Amino acid sequence: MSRLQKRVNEFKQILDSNSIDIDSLKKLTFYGGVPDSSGYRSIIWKLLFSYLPLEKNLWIETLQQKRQVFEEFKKDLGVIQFNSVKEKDDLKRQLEQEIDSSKANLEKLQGQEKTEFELEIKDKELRLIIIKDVERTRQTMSFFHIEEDSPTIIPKRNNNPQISNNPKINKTQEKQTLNQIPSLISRERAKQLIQRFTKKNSNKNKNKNQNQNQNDKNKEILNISTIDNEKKEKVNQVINEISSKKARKIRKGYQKEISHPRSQTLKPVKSSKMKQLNLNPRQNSERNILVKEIQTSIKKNTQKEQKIEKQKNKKVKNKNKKNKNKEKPIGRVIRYENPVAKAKDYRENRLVDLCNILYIYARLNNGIRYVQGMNSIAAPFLFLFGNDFENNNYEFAEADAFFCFTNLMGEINHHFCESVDDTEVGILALVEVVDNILKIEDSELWQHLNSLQILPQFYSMNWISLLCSQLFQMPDVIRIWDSLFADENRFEFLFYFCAALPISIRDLLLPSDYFQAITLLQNFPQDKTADELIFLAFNIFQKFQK
Amino acid sequence: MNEEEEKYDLKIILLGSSKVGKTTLVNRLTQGTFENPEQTTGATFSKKKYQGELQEYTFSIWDTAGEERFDSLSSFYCRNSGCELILYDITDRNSFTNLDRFFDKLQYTNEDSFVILIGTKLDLIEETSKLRKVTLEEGKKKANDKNSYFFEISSKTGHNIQELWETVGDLFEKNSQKNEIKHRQDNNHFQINSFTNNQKKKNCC
Repeated sequence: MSRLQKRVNEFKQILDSNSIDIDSLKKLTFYGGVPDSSGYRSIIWKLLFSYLPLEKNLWIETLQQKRQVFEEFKKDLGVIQFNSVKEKDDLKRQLEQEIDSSKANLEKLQGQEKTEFELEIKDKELRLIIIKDVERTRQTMSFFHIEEDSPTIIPKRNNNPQISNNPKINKTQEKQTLNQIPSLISRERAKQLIQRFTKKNSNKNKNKNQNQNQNDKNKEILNISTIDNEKKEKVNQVINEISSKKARKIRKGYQKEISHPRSQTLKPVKSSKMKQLNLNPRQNSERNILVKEIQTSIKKNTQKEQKIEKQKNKKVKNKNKKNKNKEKPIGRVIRYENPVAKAKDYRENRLVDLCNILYIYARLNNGIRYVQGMNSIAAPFLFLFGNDFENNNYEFAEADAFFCFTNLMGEINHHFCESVDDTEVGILALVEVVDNILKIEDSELWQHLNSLQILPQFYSMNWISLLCSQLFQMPDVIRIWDSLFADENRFEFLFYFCAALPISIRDLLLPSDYFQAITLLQNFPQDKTADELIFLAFNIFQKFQK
Repeated sequence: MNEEEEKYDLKIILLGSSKVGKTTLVNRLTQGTFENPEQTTGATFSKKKYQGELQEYTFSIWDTAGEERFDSLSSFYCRNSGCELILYDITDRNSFTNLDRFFDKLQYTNEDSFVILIGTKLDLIEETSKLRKVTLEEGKKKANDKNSYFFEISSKTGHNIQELWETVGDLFEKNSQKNEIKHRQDNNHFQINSFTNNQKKKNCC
């Protein structure tokens, strides 16, 4: 039995029991992380943030409840909605205009009316800044891309676990989503509409959907919500021919050979990406049909995008020249490439999901609201859960990511709170902690940095506050987070990890001058793997534990 | 000023609301490229050489985070800065109305520092002038009120970038000439001045 297999089995043992031993799970995860191939990671993260209860028999119920709660949040607070780059830009412009005109009118108002008006402006500003930040989150990742232009309105993907694919209800849903486009109508009007629709929906759905739910579930797994219904039918037809079991086999078998233009590769998408879709001739016919269908459906849509992609590639290439180290292919990502789901992802709008996670968090947590950098923290959750095919949970990635993100923020919100900056839990104090570890562990390096007068704030503030999420490529961030999240005294290990980072490049830092050193620290070299860095951090961590 | 910073002839600091194009401008200046970067948290450092009339200078450039949350943290980046580039987006009215927040920061900078007000994203106007939310006159007026220089630029097309950089260099050279004269004068009143300077420093810290 290989070592990897052994490790996977250890995880399996813990996760198979009806009541999960969280302490053993933490230990196992902390040292060495979750094996990528196991597919356990998303469950483990959900357990670590108490999103899933330890009693396994409560899981299904809990998930359903929480996902329902999230849908209700969305209904109550309103959502950010756009289906394409064009719509996103239009929405941004519209928000900007409304903020301007509202501000101009503000002076005429008084008292109650004025405060309400101010709140509305604040809300619009919040939406605007979130959209602006989200659109530049992980731009090189296809996972977060949306279509440039959408000729028809895409029905919102069926998020609500209680609502089936019933066409009638879908219509009301669509109306509802349309009406939720926030800036088109006043908030009160929206509330009325939402109330009306929710009542309708809940009455209808209760009876009709429960029976259908189970049947639809299988379909939903493979369901591809297309822009074009024709395409949808075509693909569905093919999918229906194959039982879901078989399809899953195919997916697993061919993950490595099929590379979708939207797939999450760390390399920039090549202009010859359609070639990559050409498959191995040895594949069996079922696979052929399935993939061909998807191929054609993609082809039509990609033609427009190819031009844009090409332009992008030019930019990315330029970037590559500068940061050769930054863009490196990492084998383990291949697991995420899944033809069926990728075709779905292609139409899925993860950008909007990310917006709404942040927006709803900000609305529910008025003390902190939204601070730049939160987008980088929410993104890995969405990415992980959005690629969670093993458990067919990717449909609800938005809700799952929201709750895990909220629970995480509950523990690290002092990183983002200006009012505690000068206290002992404020970010500056944490920077000091890291600096002290560095000073004790590698006094030569510390002295060097100190003599150059490079303040630790210049580099480690960013690392600590964002849990290193902007520092590495997504797979590495996820691997590092395994250990950070499974830390028994959560986020103590973070300090050791951040202290290990400069030590890992000490050979480069020691001979460098002010500019070189600060450049190295602010654009951290990517030539070491996450595991190497974590190993180094462990050594320091263990020394300090004694 | 710390020793390492002294190696740089001029410390330039970029200020402005979120997403007005600070990092993009730095990238344009230092690498000649245009791309859409992730948002800055804290501040990032880079440098660029300037060929003066007689000698070559090296300027350090500090690119700060635009969001209010980082205001208090980034104030110390302003210390000892000799040139402040304050940016707003000409297609975003808000970024213009918020400018005073950044002019307030000038209290942390050097006394003889010079300020350049910059309207960014000029390229967006070239397509449709509808998008312009801040007129050229408004920008000029604001710069005049605040006793600063003014530019409208595009980091995408490179419009006015070279001119901006030349201006920074020119102003720096003029400033340092003035300082030299002043320095000579100062030396004559050495005792008095050094005393007051020390006092000032103590008050600062």
